Amino acid sequence: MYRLKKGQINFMVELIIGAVLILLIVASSYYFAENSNIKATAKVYAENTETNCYTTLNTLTQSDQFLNGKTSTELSDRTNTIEKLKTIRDKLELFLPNSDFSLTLFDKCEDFRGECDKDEESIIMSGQERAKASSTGFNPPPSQSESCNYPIPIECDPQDYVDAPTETQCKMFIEMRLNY
Amino acid sequence: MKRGQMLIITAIVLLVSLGAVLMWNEGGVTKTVTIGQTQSEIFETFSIGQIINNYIIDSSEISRCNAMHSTAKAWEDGTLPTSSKIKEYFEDRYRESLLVYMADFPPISDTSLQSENSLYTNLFFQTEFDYENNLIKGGPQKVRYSGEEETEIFIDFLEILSKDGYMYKIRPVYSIEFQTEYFDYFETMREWSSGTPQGFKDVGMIGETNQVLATTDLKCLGKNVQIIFTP
Repeated sequence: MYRLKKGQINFMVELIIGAVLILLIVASSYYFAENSNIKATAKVYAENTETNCYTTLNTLTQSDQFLNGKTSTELSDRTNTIEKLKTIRDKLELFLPNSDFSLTLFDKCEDFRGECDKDEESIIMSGQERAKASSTGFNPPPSQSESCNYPIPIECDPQDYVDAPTETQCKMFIEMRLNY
Repeated sequence: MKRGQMLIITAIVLLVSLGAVLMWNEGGVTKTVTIGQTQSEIFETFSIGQIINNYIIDSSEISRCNAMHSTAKAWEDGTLPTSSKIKEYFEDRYRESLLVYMADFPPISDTSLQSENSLYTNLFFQTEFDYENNLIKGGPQKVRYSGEEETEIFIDFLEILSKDGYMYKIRPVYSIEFQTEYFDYFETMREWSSGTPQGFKDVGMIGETNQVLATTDLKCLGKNVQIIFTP
């Protein structure tokens, strides 16, 4: 009988082990290919349309159910603004029992589609208090609320405006913030 | 190196590579997708259109009051003119005031109305004073000439173009109450000699001057309309 030399035995053993490993790899490839589940996580953010805010604020300003006349007209005389905002707040809470909100009046609004109160001085001051009213539970971080603005024309002299348009105020703003 | 060892090393490298690939897949892939931008843009443009509509109605109501108060004080140094002149003066003050409010409308970023006075430069109002039905009516009207033959294009709308190219057209037509009895107060005062006529709270001379101050019952912007004139 032909006897294998020592080197030949090692060679045969290595060859067999290598072949087995490759077989294992091929077999496991088939196995994992059949059983593999590709996991992908998609984070989907829906753009906020600010539907609720715009609809509510537009309705609110044109309604005569909150003050003794149309809201925008009643606010335009700029008297008792805090009391008027609180009255609106109290009535609006009944209409929106599950939504917290805030209402603020501004003299200026540099960013009509954004936030008016980036400049704190733009808030209308009545005495020492701000003309602002919020519902009881309103205290959301900015990312969880939507905001919208509405310009309210106020009494002004057309000639003053023509002479000095930047110094003559003919409108103010009401901003609404609404919780999601 | 022997061929058998190379085979083993190759196999191990393949195994490790395959394992690494499988482990990498195990963790999954995270992608962030934002949906609804177009819908949001469309709705916001629509909402801005509604705000413009409402703002013009509010402005027309305040312009009516501004015109009432300024017309009532326009003849403090002279006698009251004819009824048609008073009406003409009132209409001019109304139009002037409405233009100021339109010019003062805030710029709206990311739209075709993002520059100052954009509403004033894009919207031309035609106002009608309906004395029979006690209404002031207004709507956008503009004639634009285009082309080599100077074709007339009649425009009765305002276009708002959003950042993404969405176009929204609005026709801000309004109709507000017009207290035409306001002009009757002038007629009463024209014939006034003494006392407080019906419809007035108080009529009297101002100090030592010859001017008459007549406070009417008619209120606008929370203030009674006061006619000042020299009989």
